[in-house]
Amino acid sequence: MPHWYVDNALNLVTFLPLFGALALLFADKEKKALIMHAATWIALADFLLSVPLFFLYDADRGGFQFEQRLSWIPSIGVQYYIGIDGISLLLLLLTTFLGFLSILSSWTAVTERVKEYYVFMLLLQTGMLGVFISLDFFLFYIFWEAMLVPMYFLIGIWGGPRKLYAAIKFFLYTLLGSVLMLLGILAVYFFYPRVTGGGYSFDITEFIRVLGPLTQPEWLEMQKWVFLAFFIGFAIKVPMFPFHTWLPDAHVEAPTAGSVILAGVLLKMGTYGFVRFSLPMLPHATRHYLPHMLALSVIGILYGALVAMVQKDWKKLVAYSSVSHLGFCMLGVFALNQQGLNGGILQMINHGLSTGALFLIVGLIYERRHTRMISEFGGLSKQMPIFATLFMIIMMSSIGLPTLNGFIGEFTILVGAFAIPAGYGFSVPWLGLRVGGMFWAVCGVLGIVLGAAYMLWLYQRTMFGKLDNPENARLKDLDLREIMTLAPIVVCCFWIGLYPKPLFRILEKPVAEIAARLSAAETGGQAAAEATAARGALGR
Amino acid sequence: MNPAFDPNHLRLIAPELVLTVSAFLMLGLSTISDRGRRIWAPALAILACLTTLAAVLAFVRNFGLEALRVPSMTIGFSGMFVVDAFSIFFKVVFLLAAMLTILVSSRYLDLERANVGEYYSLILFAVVGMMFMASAGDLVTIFVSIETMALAFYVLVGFLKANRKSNEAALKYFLLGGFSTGIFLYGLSLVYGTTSTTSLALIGFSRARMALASPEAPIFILGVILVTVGLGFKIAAVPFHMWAPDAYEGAPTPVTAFLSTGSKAAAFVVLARLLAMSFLPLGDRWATLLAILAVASMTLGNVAAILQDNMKRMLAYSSISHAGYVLLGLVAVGLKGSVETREYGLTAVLLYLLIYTFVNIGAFTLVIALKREQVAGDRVADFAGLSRRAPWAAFAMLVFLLSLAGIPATAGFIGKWFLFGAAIKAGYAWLAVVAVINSAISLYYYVRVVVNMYIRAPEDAERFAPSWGQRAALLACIVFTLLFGVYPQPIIAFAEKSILDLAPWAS
Repeated sequence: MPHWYVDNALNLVTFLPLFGALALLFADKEKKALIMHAATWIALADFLLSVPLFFLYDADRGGFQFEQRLSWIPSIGVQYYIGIDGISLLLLLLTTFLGFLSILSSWTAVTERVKEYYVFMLLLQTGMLGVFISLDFFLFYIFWEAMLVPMYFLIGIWGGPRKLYAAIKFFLYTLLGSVLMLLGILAVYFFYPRVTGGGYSFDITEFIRVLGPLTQPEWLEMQKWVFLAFFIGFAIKVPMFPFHTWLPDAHVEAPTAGSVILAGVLLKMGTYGFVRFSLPMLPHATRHYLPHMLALSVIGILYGALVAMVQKDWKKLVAYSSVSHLGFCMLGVFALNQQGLNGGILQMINHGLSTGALFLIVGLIYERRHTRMISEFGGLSKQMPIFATLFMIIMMSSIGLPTLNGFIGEFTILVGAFAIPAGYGFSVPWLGLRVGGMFWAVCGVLGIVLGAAYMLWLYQRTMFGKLDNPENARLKDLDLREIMTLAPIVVCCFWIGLYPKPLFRILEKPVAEIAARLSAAETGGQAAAEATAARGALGR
Repeated sequence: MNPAFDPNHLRLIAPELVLTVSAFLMLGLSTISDRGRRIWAPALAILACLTTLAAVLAFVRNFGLEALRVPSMTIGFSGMFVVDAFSIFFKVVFLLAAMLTILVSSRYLDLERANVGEYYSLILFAVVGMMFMASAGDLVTIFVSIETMALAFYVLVGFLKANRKSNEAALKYFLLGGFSTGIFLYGLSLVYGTTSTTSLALIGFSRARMALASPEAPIFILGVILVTVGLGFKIAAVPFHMWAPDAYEGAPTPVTAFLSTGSKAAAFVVLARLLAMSFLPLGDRWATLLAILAVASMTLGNVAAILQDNMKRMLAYSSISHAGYVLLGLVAVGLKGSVETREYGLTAVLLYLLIYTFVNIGAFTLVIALKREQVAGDRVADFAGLSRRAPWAAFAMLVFLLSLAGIPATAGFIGKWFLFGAAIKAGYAWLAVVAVINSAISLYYYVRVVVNMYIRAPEDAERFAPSWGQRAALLACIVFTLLFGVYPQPIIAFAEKSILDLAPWAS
């Protein structure tokens, strides 16, 4: 690989869509085909540019690579500091991959205001990529929040009947979360120089290195507040129960590509936030709030699955399944051990692939029939065999059938959850009840069973049975472009399902580091608590 | 103190002299009835502002901003007039605001059949008042300069003689303004009565000496409260905001733009100087007072703005809420924290007022440019479909609105970052929480305009053709908002160097 590529790869990948969008701004808005093709090529080029990173990333070395650090706003210690580790690498690839596919899927779905549409799609792409590569908190926040604007427009302009309501709800909800997170960032930012005695900084790696192991009582107390501030920001994005109510509206009203990006990438920004910031930087608070986090994750899994079960709208069903699956990711992450984290992160990728594909599938049907009511369909497998086959594979992946990606993720998460020691959950002393790994794992399994139930039932109701609705009798099967949008995802599902080792290898080092920080914090925290107690005893 | 008049001191007020002479000149020239006046009058006014700006910046060139922080170099007229970096920063802001206002005015006045030369001289007189406010080192200077500014604005708000709303606005503004002046003056008299000095620098010393004898000084505190209330009217902080929506709606829109930026910034400069220089010993007291005002302004301003269908009223309420945000910075100044916290708070105030000037005038420029014959163009609905009628104008408005809401990559975000940071740094976390929640609420009504521009269909296909002056102002504002949103270092450095030296008893 040429040297210039290695040096600038992240910038190239991140800002190519932005410059593409700027170039499109000057295109004639009547030349729809040209704009469409240009956007697709830009997205494809972006994906192709990002692929070599996967091979160039040195998994044995671990840590942040492809770093770049420039002074930006020296007055307040802001740097342009980017870099990726294994976790962000996978999410970056997922983003460029789904970005390309969702733009490809929009060719026939979006027919009006084409130019603006692709401009916003590309801007969104830059925003999301920026979130994953930022190692400076300020930079991170800019991408994190600026990204809301194109998403707002995508829902608001090209969305369904209740688009305005859904768009503003999405915008307000996530903005409220972000600004509260901003306060958390500010609190850390002002605290950091008091520890180091140096100047201000937003350097995430420094925050983690210095503040993570710190056991100063003031900081331990502050961690809890900062954790809550971050929690609101990230939990709304994930979304964790009870902050999920924006999601069904936004997902259902958004255009297909918007839903794919929302489910595939945007939600991952929340889980990524927990993994990147909350866990390593605030390990003590993470421990402190662990029972609540685990409980919310499990409630999310079960609640999402149960609500998905009763949906009449195909897209809404998929939307609620997202709530359930993201609950899984959170359960894995908050298992706080190597397996759990591995599984949680891998499941983010899996969910991006399978739910992204499910939204594409709903989109394909919606384009043909202009309805998403499950009761309108039935027996489609006879009319659309290719579609039914692809849908079957994706559905199985979503359920977690062995040989497909979902299985690997869910299995690893359950292993991790099982290993959660007793006493990290809720304990009810007067009943002699100490909730431990077994409980969380069983809840997870229950979620998987429910997931299989609603998915299989959906498949049965739409694909099998008699083709009794005459409107469905004329449906065309997928054309080549439509197959092209789904086939790559199917390939990935099999790849991860059969041979996940390369992914785990990339994740190993960064995840091990986070897990080590958390267990160090556990012992360190206990030592600090004992020391405080001892001092108290001496004082008396 | 030497009461004798020193002609050398005239150099300190050279910029103000230039502007005053220009304003009188404009007044004289306005008697000439000439069809070309709609071109040369604004051109001359801008030239006057530019000359003044050059004179102001000459101080920076001669001394350097750093040196201007040394008070002894630049005090004139027995301490009544101070040229420090702090005042220079604000003078630059006022002059920029005035120039932008002048640029966008001509076409509007034509449409309102009110394009007469007095308009520009009144704007210049208002700026003279503001500039003296920025440099005031004495209660008397403060009072006289505030009145100079206010009188000009009373006339400007009612400038559309045939328009009932404009007349009503002027009357309300005048009555409530007079009322607030009374309160302010009463406060000043109490302060003077208890400290026996009108010099801002000496009030603090005097109070510090008094504190040894009597730690509680109810009369002095009452004075401080009344002064704050008087200035609260000028910055339109809740509950002293009642005049603002009506005055903003009724006034000619360029005047509204100027009123909401220049006049507000001017009131803030006086407030900041009084609080940080003279009333600092009572810092923790007035910090609480300001915190209450801030919460009330932010919350009421934002909630009331949601209900507005008129752009000018909406921006008026938004402006009330922004005054609330700025107060956060002053709250940080008042606490008995470190000097660093105080400096951070002041920097935030300066930065925000500078940014707000450009962003708000930018937003008002769009409202002004939508004005056509017989169409006021100031309803939110008038923005319907703007993205199809004029994509670039819609984009500009989008940027201004996002900036007002504090979305990153715009200058507004940088300003809010500093203000919220100041609150956090000062340990006022709850205040910061209220502020960010408000910031999220505000997005709702800003986005309503965006929905109109981008999602609703246009009501008519009338071409959107702003004048050249409006285009220039728009360009300046948009470049400022985006450029300093992405690379704010220059303006942060400018603000950081401009914060006034805190008095020696600060630490």
